[in-house]
Amino acid sequence: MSNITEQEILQKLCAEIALITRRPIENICPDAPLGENGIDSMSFLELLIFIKKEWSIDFLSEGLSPSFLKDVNALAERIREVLHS
Amino acid sequence: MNRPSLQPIPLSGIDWMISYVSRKSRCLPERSNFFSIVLELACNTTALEQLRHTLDQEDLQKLAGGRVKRGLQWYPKWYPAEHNTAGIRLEDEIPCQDWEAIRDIMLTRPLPSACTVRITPVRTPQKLILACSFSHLLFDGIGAEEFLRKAAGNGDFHLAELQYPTTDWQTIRQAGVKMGNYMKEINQKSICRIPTPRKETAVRYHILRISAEKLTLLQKKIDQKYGPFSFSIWLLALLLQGMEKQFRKQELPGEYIMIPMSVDLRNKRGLNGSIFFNQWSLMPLTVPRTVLQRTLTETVQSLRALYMTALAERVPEMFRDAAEAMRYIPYFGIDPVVRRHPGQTLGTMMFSYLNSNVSDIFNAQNFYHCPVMPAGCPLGFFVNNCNGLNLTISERGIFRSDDYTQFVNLFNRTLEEELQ
Repeated sequence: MSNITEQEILQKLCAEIALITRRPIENICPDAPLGENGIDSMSFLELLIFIKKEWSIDFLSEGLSPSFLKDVNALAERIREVLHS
Repeated sequence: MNRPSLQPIPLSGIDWMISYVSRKSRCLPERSNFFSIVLELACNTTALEQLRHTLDQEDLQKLAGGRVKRGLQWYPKWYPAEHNTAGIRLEDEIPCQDWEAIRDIMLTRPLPSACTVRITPVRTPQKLILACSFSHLLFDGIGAEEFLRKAAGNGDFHLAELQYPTTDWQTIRQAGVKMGNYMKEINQKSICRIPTPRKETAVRYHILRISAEKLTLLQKKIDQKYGPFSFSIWLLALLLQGMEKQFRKQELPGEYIMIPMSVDLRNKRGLNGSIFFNQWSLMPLTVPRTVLQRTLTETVQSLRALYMTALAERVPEMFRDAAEAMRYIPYFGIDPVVRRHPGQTLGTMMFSYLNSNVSDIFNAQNFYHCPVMPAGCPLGFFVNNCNGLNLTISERGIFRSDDYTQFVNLFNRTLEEELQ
């Protein structure tokens, strides 16, 4: 699991966001804030559940600083950091 | 799929439930206005003329003037009317100085029973607004999709092709088993019983609007206080705490409050590309009442954890499948379930959080649930988020007038404090 690249994490995150928000994956912009990609407070919980299932990272109890949620890229980078630590 | 317009249209379980609710609601004082939704669209004179032309289509009027029938079939269908009807009414333009001033009138005007869509153009010095009242019968389920696809004609709505749910008995059976277990667990708990209102009691309501700018500010503040993306959980916590105070005042017994749901059909097989189901609803969840007696911060944290657990256990998914299965159940099968549960909180309180992407397609300005509620439902929280937030708090004869005012005032005050 720790060999996974940030790019792979990003792809999975974008695919999940597309699924949750029902937007075409090509409309998911990794540089845009999560809110602009259609994530709201409820779908955010769904995304956290996906992250927990996929990479066993429980951000809700571990805490997530706003800087990690700046955009999808930042979230992917944080996941990679946790996986590699 | 170019189906001839007058063919019956298969419906989903949600449509079927709504037709049941509408039938029940006809015994209420607001019977002519059964459960509608107002969509506020920005428009211009040319588009309005085009719309008039579209609405002249006989097929479209027949479609809107149709009705749900089941008969001896496996599942219900929407039957377009055989003769031309006025299912959609486009009214004469109303000139007005200020849209805000007449919005409440538009929200509460009864929708005539023979009409499923009413469109009222309202012209202010600044803009032209189309106040579109949809009956839930068309708006919920996939009925709205079908209607809009037809109404769009060669227009600009760009709706994706709609497919119809097909029966997957294995999934439905699995969902049924899981649902059964889940409900059994819930039934073992002591749920707070909200008194069922008398049918003839009229609804009291309060509509609160927060502009898009204020909402952004509010969400930022809530995120700072409670963590990222906490807004809807915070809003729910605030409402439930207020309710809990009233329940305690009335000494209602029960250790848990149940938060019912409307069903989220996003990502449901067969509904790809649909637009009206970008709705994340709160699944039936039992919340210990002691949780609601703590500080707001503690309540928010507890509620979030409860939702996370329910999501991890795939509760929303099982309810999506169960909603699909619902279309195979005849009215007399739905009846006992509905009769059994109004005594509990289930089915008596509605919290719908609609964060719709509908604005991309319709240039929607806002979106309201009418304050009317179905029979047997004493409390309604309808929260819609579309270019700003609007929240309708409805109640039907369970609180004393001053208690209700106190609850609404406290809620408003808290919002104002947060916004300062």
